[in-house]
Amino acid sequence: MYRYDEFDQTFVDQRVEQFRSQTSRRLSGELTEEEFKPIRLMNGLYLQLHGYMLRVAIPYGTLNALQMRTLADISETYDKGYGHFTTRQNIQYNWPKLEDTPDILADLASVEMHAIQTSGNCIRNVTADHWAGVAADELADPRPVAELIRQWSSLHPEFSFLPRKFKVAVTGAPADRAAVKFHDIGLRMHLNDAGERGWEVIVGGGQGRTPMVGVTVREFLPEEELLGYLEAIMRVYNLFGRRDNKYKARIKILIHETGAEEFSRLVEEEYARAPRPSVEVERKELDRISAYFAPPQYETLSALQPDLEGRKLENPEFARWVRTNVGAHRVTGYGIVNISLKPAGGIPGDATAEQMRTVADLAERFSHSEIRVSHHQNLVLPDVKLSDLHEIWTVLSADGMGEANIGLLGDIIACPGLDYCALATARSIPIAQSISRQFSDPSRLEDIGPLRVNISGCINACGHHHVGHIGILGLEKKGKEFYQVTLGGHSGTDASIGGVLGKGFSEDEIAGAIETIVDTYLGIRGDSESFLECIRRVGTPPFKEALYAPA
Amino acid sequence: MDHGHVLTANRLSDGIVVFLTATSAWSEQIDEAVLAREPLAAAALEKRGVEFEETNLVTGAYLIEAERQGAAITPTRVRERIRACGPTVAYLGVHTPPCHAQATAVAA
Repeated sequence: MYRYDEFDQTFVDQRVEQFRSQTSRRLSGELTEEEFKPIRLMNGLYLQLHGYMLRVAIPYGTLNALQMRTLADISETYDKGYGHFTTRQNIQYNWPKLEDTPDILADLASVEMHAIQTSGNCIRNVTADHWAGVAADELADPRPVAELIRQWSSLHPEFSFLPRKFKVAVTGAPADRAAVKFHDIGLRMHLNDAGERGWEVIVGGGQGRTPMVGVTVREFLPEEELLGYLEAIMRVYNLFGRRDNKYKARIKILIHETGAEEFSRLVEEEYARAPRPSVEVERKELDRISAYFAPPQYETLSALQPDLEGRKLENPEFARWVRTNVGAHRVTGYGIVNISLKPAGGIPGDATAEQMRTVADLAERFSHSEIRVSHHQNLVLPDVKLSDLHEIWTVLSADGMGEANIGLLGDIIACPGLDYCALATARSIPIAQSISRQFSDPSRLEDIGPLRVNISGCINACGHHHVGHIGILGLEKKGKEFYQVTLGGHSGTDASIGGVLGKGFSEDEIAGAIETIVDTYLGIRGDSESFLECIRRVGTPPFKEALYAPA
Repeated sequence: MDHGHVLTANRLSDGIVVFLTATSAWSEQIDEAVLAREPLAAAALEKRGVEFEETNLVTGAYLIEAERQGAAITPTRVRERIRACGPTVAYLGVHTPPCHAQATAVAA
């Protein structure tokens, strides 16, 4: 993975000292809150419902064992012993003190981490396929490009005051695990006939109060033109994006209002106009970065694993976990271990310091010290020998992380909701808890098959409810929370936005409503027809009928 | 039952939610807050909030609607009930102390 050079380290260290001085001036009253607020936000420090919240960037969701241990230490030293992995592959601490924050940032800097650009109207942390570099279906690792974009966009003076925040996601695989069609810019790698890499540029996707699927403005952009082209997009957005209304300021609205064709024309015009050499990606720089992502020395292993097969026969629970939680690795004899942070009745994405250390230890022993965070709020050990799976599963199970539910109904995405968030209109965590308790039988989950339930506690949609196969949106009316259900959303290659079913449900009713939806599906599904395929075939009427028809 | 307004803010140094008491102190317990029953009294509370912000003890002071029954004060809105008591979910490894407004929030 990428390592800071002297320039990176000096820059981050200086930034910490700058914030230390700003914090002490705020505490002494030399700076007012009005003056200080934009400064703390630029360093990832929010003021949430119960206090400050620090959002730490995990670039494209990749971190090493030492960094994970530091995250654990920070949660114990300065917070309440846990952290929350987010839907943008970051981690949030819910209880930091302002007076401690410079020390937290210094601890992060000591392991090449920071909280810069995790807030504000700038280009945010670039996200990536959490299986990047190891997935069996991948063309090439997209992370060198993600890192290149990170370096280009970090404190880029021209893009520090955009009309609104800006999110970029990248994938190097045909199966979209990074939701590239739901980002301000989504990049998907393709190979041309000559085997050269290029990028499909998708712009204007997003969720929030106006969900939109992004549109492709370039089918195949040669890799070395990438930064120049992105710069042209950013300039068009910076120039024409609305600044009069926060809710209409994202690039998706600009594209919607000007039309995709006209927007594309503006970008091409700007791209043709801009002086090329200054913005063209230097192949050398990309090669320099790529060297950091060189694959580890894999052993030559057999595809046949008699020991593993024996263990699976002996232990059906282990066999199930291998089926549901281990992804196909591109190297024979290896697997991608997906660690569920979704125990039945648990808080999606939360991990204790002890759990973080357990994962760090496992990464060190079995996965070349590397860990990933997925936007589904789970963790990944990307490079695991299949012969080590049983030991890993045993350790994870002993620490409450052995749940066999990846991609199944128990693997619920949920934003912090009104339990933590100042913007929320309703709680989402208790809803996730009641549903995951209701659907805690792993054999039933497996029988139901792939089903994503995503929950947001307000229309800003941090819980990705628009792309949940079942989406749940929490709202408040007359002092009471209620929950609206959508069906048919999907963030993959064949992306779609869920449609609202009908009137909402109370907190007590919602798990029962999900039960009814699932039973309806089980009653009408065809042979091996997934929930999403079924919805796409029959539409919403059978589900509406089951939920709302008078008994 | 008394209906009125309570002044709340976040303590600057650590961000913790606090409420203004009758003795012009800031308490973490909403039940210790002073309840302004008249609009004029509420306006006076709000003014005091601005003064406290200027002395940099708290930040983001604002009035919330609340009701007092006996010794217990309960905010009207769900959001404020949760804010007064902390998350309604038992967070990992941490025990949440019982809170009057919390019970109301969960029951609501």
